[in-house]
Amino acid sequence: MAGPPSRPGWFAVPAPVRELFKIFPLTTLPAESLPERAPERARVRPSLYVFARTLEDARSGRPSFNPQCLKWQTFLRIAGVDVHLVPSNNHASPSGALPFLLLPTTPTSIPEKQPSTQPGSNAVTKPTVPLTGSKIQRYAKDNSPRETTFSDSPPSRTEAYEALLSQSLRPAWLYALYLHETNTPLLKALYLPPSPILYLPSLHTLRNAATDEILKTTRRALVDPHRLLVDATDALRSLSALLADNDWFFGQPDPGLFDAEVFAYTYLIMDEAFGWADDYSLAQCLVKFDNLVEHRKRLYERCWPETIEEEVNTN
Amino acid sequence: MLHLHVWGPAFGLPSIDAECLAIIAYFHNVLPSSLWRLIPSNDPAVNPSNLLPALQHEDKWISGFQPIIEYLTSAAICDGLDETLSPIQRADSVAYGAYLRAHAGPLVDLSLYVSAANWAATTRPAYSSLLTFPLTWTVPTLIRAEAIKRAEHLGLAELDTDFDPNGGLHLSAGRDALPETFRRHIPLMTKKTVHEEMTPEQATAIRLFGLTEDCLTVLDDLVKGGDEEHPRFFTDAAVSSLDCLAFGYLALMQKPAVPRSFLKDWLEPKTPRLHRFVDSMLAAITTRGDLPWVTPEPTSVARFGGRILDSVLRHIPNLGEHYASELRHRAENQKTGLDQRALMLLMGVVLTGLATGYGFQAYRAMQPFGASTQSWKPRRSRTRLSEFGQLGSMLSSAMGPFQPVPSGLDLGARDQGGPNGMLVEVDSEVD
Amino acid sequence: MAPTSESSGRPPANHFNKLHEDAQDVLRDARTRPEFQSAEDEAKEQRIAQLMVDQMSMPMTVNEVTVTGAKNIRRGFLDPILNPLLSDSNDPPYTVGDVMSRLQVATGKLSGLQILREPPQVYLSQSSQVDASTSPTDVDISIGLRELPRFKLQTGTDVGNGEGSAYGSLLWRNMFGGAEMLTLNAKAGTRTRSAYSANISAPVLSNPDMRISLEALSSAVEKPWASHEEVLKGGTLRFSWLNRQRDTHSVEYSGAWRQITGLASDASPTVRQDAGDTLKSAIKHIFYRERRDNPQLPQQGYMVRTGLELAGVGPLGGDVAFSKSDLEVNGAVPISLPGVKGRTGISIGAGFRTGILYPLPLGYNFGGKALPSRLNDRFLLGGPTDIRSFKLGGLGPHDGRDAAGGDVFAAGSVNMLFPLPYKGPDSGLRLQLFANGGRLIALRNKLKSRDTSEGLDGEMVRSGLLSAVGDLFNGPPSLAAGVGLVYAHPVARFELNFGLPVIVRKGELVTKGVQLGVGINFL
Repeated sequence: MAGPPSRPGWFAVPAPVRELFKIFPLTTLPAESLPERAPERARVRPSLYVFARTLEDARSGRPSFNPQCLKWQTFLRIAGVDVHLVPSNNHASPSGALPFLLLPTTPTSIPEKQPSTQPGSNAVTKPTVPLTGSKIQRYAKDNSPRETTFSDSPPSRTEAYEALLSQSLRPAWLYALYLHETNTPLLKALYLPPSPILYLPSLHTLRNAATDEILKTTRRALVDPHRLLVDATDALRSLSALLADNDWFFGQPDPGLFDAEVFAYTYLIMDEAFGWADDYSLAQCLVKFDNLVEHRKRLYERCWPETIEEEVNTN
Repeated sequence: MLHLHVWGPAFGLPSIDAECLAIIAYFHNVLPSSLWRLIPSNDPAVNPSNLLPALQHEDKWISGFQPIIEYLTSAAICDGLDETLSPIQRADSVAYGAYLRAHAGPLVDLSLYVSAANWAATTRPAYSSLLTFPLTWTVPTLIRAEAIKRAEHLGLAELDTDFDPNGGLHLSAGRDALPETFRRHIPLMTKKTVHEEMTPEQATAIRLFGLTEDCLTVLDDLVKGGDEEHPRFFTDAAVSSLDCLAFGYLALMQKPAVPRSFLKDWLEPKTPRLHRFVDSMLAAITTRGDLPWVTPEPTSVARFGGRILDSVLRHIPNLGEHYASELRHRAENQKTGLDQRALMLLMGVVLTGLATGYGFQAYRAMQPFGASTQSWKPRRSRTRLSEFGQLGSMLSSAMGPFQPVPSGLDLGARDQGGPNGMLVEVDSEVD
Repeated sequence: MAPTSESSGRPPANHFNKLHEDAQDVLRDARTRPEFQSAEDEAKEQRIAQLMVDQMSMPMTVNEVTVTGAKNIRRGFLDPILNPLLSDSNDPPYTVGDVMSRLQVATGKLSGLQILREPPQVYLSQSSQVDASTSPTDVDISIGLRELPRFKLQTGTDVGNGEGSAYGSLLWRNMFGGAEMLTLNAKAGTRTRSAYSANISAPVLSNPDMRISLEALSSAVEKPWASHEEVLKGGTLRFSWLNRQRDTHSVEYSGAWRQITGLASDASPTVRQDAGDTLKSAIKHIFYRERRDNPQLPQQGYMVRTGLELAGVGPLGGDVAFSKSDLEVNGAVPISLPGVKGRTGISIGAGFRTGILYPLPLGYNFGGKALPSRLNDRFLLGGPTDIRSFKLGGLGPHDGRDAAGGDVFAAGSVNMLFPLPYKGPDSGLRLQLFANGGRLIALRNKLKSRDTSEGLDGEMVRSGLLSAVGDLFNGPPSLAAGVGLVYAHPVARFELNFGLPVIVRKGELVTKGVQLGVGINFL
């Protein structure tokens, strides 16, 4: 292979070979269809992957039982973005935690696109990178059909109060759901696999992770349930003071992400159908603050009008 | 008399720990120094919650910044600093307090503990001067490990490079060492995109400054307005509990002389108000007179030995974690002495140990399974005597001539003769 | 020898010269001829055979068998191996032939146990006639064994095939003196993030052809062809045996907790759909017949392998249920060329694989709905060791870049091997021409109107599967052809191929040009 000196390198493909490569494959047939469990290739609506109790719950768009999922679900509803809920688990997420949003496929890109089979090119179908966190927020804002402005609340105070939720309310939530003994059946129903073999190791893993998380955020050496409840009550009191007599937080004309975040906790804490045990009750801390309870009701009616009607009809 | 146990002084500050600093500032502002004692016990185990700062009042122990303040008010020892605040200001105070713990805390952890260079040059020596000899080897590393855990979610431990590639501890290897169950909680950082071209130092620096900027801007926004010389968070109060807490964290960003001073470098030029705030708070502490320091009572040898043992146990990989969580479990349920769970655990450990030891011994005793020479003979030519060892075969050879001579193909020869039976009895007595 | 070497070059006209030669030379000359030599060899063989037959029928009985060097082998374990030799066994040997054949069986068993350094050494000696208990036909057999060391520790690093890894393994032979074997393996690397396994196996009834083994496995492996990482924890209990025709059968039960996790950021919705935990509990039967002269480089013979797996049905439990069966046939015929004697080293080989995964209802709910197959149970096709010129898992349904796998597949390959010039048929190097192709099809419910989220009923499964099987032969398979270099090493076979795809389907991933394959089992 003593080639001419003009050759760019040992590994460069000579032109005739490249021509030959271009001829092959001689025939390209249509693609094989995907397996039964696989979702449809084309998505009309964006898919939000969330924790859901049942497939039916997800299909009818009922609130998720996970505060993070519910936050984004609520926010997308506030923005009026219609999403398809897919029940899923943390393993499916690119960030390690639900929720995440898969964008709809643009109708032109999928059926017409010629999949290239060249080794170097990666233009088979555009990889779908799911959106998480603030990217969902941006997507919702950009695609909201409503005229809502999402005028920004004062950024630094919002951040401070967000920290209040994550720092004071979330540890109490984690304790109540994951560590409090009487809520074990609830935890089992929500997060644990039904198989008895996987149940114990999963429970152990979940509890350890929750304990670590609580200790890390509270910066204490021990998990003190009473203290967590006191902190949570303090947090709720502060939120109540912040909301005051306004409809939405920070005196905004329309609800925003922070409202969704608060709602995600308050809705689930006070949800009677959730299945909380009575002896460690975050709900009892919450009912003291009427304006937060009203806020919860107001936002629910705004975002889930169809279920309100249902309830009226059944009554 | 109120006894306040804290981590001792370092970096020219009254304490090495943010919340200890905060509570010292708070006490100094609400109480005359005659009413309280400041004890640098440097041992969280002095109180049942295993946390410093801890307040000892009569028989009660209260630990942590917020609980101590609540206790002071509820026990009517003194007026709180936040009495004059409006409800919304109090709400802000709680929220910003949470913000400090959530964002300023991990930054301090990054700067003083995660950064290998800072740790080696500044923080570790500071701990060494606080602790007595063998503990200086074991306790600081445990504290650091906890700080690393707390700062993990920032993702900087992974980009690491810290800081110092030759610094010994390579946190970047951490992800692969994590168990799979945990790994999915951490965002995957393997797919770098924009930052691919940058050196790790640059990428780290950009993220670090981003985090620092976010955190300090939020705080700076609240301090805005008011006294330029002595900035405070709430203008109409002299000093609030939030001021104390913020002082605790900000002082640790500003004061320690660390080699990688990214926090200080930001604090001084970009948020001068916060910088002045720290100085003025510190000055207020020193101008109001000395802190009522008391040397801690000397610890007993048994207690000291116990602490050494405890810290060593916690270092054992895997087992140390079980030990720590078991200890935590006991402390949470306020158990002392032997209860059923501990007894079961102890029994379990002892039984497992015994079973393992017995199994090992039994296995040793079984060996060798074979012998260097083993021989098989058809039973016809083997008297039952030979089954009784060497003596038996000696006897059997002695009896040889009396044996019926078997012909090779005579199957009937397997029959044992009567006389041998008698000899067996003799033999068994010998045995 | 000088005259003979001259004579070979002589023209026929010089035959007269032979008359002048010494008779001895003529004889020697004649003896060097091949015809003569073969005739002589034949005669020799016949003589020996006759001698053997005569010898074999001579009476012989065994007085004593002595085994030396079996320091760690239990007597009770050796009993079933050596007893057939003794004259008090059920069917004792009486002739030399009997003794010899049984001795051969016994030593074969001993060396098959994998605890000896070398095959046993056997000495026969006339029994001492001084001992009155012996008869003149008696012999003493002495078997000398050299045991392998009981512990073997191995550590090392592997680099190659896009993967770097470090491993350590501990082998503990003959744990309780009965050829029990414990293997502990640990491996950590870039693609196989971590893998730990423990395997304990023992021969049944001292017979090396029957083994029972118990294995525990914990691993985390990256699967780049479907953008995820699979974490697996499981155990297997396996009983395997060789039948009279030396075919391997094995029956195993395995339970595994699989977790699809660590998805790449651009993983497809199909993979995301299946992320999470599943529990598989399955029984499996494998039949394997090997009749090839060299499995790595077959020139002659055939191989058949079938597998049948049943998961999640009835008492098995778990949360996936299916039956999965697959068949693999592989064979080769040598090609002889006119004018070339002996092996030419040229051969034509062919291989065929097929498999079908049939979704079943879980547990005792026999009439109920079957759960569609999941990503980690479905078949994959393509790659340098099965369908060359395709990427690993490159055939069949793809969602984006991810191989979604399929429920039915068929694949075939034809290759022709030529020895390399100057290397000859005895070397392990070959040139090959190959063409291979296949199709991997996923089961689809044809009645799209019906909701299948709860599962598929029996009718849907049947119709879907029938149409999938029909599709297998309906269209042309995805096809590739090329040339390459094959090297058969005793451990593995290496192939360096240059190939081009001829027919592909949209979404299928191909490797045009050079592809390297390392493996044990090639299609």
